[in-house]
Amino acid sequence: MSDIQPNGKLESNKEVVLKFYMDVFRDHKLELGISNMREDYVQHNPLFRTGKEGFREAFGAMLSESAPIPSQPEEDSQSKSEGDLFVHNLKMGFLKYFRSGCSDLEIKRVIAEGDLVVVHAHFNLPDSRYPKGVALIDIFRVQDGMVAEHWDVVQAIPLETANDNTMF
Amino acid sequence: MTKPGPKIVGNRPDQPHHTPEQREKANLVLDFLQQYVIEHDPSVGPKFFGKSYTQHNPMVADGQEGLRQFAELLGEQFPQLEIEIKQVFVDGDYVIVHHHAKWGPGTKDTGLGSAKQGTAVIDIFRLEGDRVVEHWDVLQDIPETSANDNTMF
Repeated sequence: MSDIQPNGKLESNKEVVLKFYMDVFRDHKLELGISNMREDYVQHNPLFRTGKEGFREAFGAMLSESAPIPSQPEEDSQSKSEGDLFVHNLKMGFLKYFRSGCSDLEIKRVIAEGDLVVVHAHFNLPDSRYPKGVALIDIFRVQDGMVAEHWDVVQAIPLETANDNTMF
Repeated sequence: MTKPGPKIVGNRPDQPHHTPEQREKANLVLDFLQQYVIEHDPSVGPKFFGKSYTQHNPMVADGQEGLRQFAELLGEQFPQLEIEIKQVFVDGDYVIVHHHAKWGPGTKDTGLGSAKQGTAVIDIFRLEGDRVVEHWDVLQDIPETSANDNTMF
């Protein structure tokens, strides 16, 4: 998409990120995905520990058939803030996604600048809490051909909207 | 003299390798966000809008008028809103802004502003020439607890 630096670097950074994304989220091949992740991967998503090991641990548990499925959230919204409740529910939604072998994601656009790659994606989670799925924008930093840092925001797509353009 | 109401606080970030053209596009979008949306001076609209404005935020009606109404509502409901810009980057005609919205006291009936820690936002704007013509975003309320110490930014 870049018309400013139509060089190979941006394109190859996009490829690194898309391969990682597809390996993990579409194909559920965790070890293949993180073979291109730096050990000191800096994680900004509040659900996960930082580092490659934190990523392996969290997604390994989601993908493992034998790990117990946690019971539905303690619905004590009294004691949890909106933000905490949201990420808790979201984790359950992604757990169901991985456990059911779901690959229902669509990459809407990929944008790159310098060492950063932005992915705008739509995930349909097999969870009645998200009838229209969730919208994600992820930002990855790529270093030496490996994913090195990650920020993201996730929003449940509302049923009622003020315009007809969709969130994408 | 700064007028009361929502504002952008802190410095504008810059990526070290921004070309002059990228810097110009980043500043155009940040001016638009600051002057039209956050501080909401409707008179600056003609500087930024093109023939159409396609809105993908599901809470906001389409077009310039939808954004004008939303900006007005934001100022009325969150007079102490503070936006801190964390990252801005540019790819061709796309400008991405990663920011932290701290709502302050305000009305909650918009569905916005209930998170004590504020909201993490990534906006994607599309330009045509020097006009802002399309906008997507994703908002997430920041949890009070986190599995890491890196913050959402």
